[in-house]
Amino acid sequence: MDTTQLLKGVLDLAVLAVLDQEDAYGYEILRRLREAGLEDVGDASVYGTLRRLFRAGHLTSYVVPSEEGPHRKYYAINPSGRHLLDISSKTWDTFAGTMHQLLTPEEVGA
Amino acid sequence: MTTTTTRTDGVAEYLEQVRRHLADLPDDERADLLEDLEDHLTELCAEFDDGLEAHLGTPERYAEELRASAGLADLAPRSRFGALADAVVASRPIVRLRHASRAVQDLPVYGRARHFADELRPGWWVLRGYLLALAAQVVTDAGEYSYPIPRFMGRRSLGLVMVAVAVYASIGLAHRGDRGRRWRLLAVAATVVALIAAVHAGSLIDDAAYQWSHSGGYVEYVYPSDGLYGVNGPITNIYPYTVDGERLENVLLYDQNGNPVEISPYGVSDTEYDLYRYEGGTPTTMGQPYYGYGDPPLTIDDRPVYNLFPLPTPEPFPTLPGD
Repeated sequence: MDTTQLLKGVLDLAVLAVLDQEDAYGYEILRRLREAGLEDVGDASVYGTLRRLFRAGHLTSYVVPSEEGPHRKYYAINPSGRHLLDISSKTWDTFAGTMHQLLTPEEVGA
Repeated sequence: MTTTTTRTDGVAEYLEQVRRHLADLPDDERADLLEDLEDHLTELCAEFDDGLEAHLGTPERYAEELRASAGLADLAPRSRFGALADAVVASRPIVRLRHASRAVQDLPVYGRARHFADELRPGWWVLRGYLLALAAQVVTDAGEYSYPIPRFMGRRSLGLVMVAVAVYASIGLAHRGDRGRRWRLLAVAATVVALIAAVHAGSLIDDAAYQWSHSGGYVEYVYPSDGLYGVNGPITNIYPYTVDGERLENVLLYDQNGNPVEISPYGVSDTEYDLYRYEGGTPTTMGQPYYGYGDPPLTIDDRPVYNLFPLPTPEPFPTLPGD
């Protein structure tokens, strides 16, 4: 199954989860997502998602000057984003549980 | 130093191409989306040794991914007018109307009517061709309008050929409607011209009927409530006889509903109306009853009686054919 299709639905949740641990800049977020196992996630998708969440008021951003290379724009989760993360992760849990039951029917009877 | 310059150039080029692929977005949306993409890409460049494209894919794909993840995919080709149109389509009255029309479409009657209309379509195509041929006379015969058979270069025989060609074209047009916008537009234009020709032809039919009735044809205006009509034309008087040939006078006539049978000058045509000229209460024309305008000869219970036959007239009783 194509994971990029699945990613579309949960990328918001994944980005929020990463930022909930620690503030990060664009490429760092991508790297952490890939390290976590979401290897198919694209740079543009992360960047676009960040812009959308920022515009919707779920993130704040600040620029950190860098000694070598360009300035880095860090993103941080705010209360609105944390609230969204909370709701989304509950939805995900329910959904994942349902899918799991559906795919392993023998556990239902047990 | 040289390598750094090359890398930065690579970023500028890549960014420029991404920007071009997002050119259809509204300006503010695009500016916001690309606001710090340059910084971001420069940053990525520092991470990768080989070019951006090896890691990010083509600028086109990158742009599409950006568009989708930023939630701008639906926004893409929408102009301000398009957005307005969307708002209208989504507005409550329109939505209700759509629901209502869907409900109507679910009715079995709708399906039958639709089917019937579909069967009528070829007939309309033929009629449209004919109407187009009528309309074509405006061009081919400089507005010399011939109806119902159109003329082509002044000749009806060629006009019939023109009808055949127009019908063929009209049917062909109907079948090409699904081949693209241009054909559909042409079909719509043909229909509009045909409808105009139909309205014009309709007025010509009225004109023709009017001219016919005022020249060759004879139309008589009869007021059924007034006067009497027989197979030989207007009846101006009635002379009752018994089977023995005996004249009867002062006979009151009534119809099947009990209404008095009356003869009035209105029961006859305009020309005969002129005969009813009175001078001093006496008719000047022989053979015509003299009341109708004047006082009735008889009143019963103060009510005038107009159905007393024969009507008083200077003319004597006619001689019957048998006598």
